[in-house]
Amino acid sequence: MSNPETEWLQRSLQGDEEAFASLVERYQNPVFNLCYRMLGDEFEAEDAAQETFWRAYQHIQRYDPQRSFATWLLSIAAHYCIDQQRKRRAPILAIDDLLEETLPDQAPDPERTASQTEEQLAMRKLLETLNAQDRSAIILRYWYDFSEEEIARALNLSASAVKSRLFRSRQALARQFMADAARAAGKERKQDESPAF
Amino acid sequence: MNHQPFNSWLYEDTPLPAAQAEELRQHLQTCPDCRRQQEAWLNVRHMLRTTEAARPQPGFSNRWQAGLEARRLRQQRRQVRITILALAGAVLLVLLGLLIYFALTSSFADLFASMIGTSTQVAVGLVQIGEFFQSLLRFLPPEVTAAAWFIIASWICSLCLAWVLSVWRISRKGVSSHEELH
Repeated sequence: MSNPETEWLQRSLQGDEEAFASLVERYQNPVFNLCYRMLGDEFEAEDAAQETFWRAYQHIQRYDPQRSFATWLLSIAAHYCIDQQRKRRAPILAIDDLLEETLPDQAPDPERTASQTEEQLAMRKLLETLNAQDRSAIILRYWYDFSEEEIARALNLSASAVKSRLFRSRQALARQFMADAARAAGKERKQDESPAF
Repeated sequence: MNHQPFNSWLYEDTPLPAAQAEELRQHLQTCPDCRRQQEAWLNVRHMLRTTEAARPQPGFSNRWQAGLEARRLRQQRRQVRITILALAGAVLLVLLGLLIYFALTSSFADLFASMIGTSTQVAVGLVQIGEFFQSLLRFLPPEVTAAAWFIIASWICSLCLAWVLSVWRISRKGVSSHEELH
């Protein structure tokens, strides 16, 4: 951990709100990304990320400085998002709804934006096939390079449970990818076969 | 075709030992199903590794700070409500206790008579105190009397001011400190 972060953490532990705001500034992207990948909606992700920082602020005294702050923070975010998923148990969004909604625009290039949106949608569709805990395990593993032990600690699971969840999730994602690819290929074939006037 | 253990090896996150890797390679050459699965998983893994992280709209930390202020205010108001309710509850409980105590220990007539007696004693006591001060004022020089009145009035004003300020502070800021927020 870099020096300013250590200082912000120490000051935050003493109740310095400004120091904690610096931590919010520093970790807003990873926390938001995790919430977005978990919930699949920009507005819900914003609320979840805000709630994560509020919970972290409220319980900062419980943070163990020997451990990584990012791990602690992402663990709070993952738990919150898992709870939200359990509460809502909403049906998966229709693809048309997904297309209407745009992600926060970071690229001025329209082509790049379009391809990024497509990529994000594909990713979201894939992740939606997993249950909340499996999804969080996959996100922590592949977006944040958490080890199985770190995921186990973050999600309060045993290392063997994480291992089997990750394994099952990889299989499910690959199967979904194959199904999507087959569907897309079928669509293309239909378009090619349709008579041109 | 038997796909095990190859199908499981496809999804292993850690590199396989050389012998197993070779066995898997040979199986993949003859099994299109496992090959499709491997390609699919490699594609998914690539997507997971390369899809750009989503970012919040600008001003996230400002929104957090504004939210923090709002939450704190809500928490403090809730605390004030709880304090007031607790105090009112305690007073009611004491009154109820007294009522039950008197109802159990004496009759209504006794209670009424002792109430009248106590009120009379208090009234007589107040009149006597008043007379005492009046007689005292007659003997004191007028400067001392004025100074005494001034001191008494100042004390009353100060107490009133402190009370008003306390009520205002509790209603505005609550009774919480930063520690309590944690």
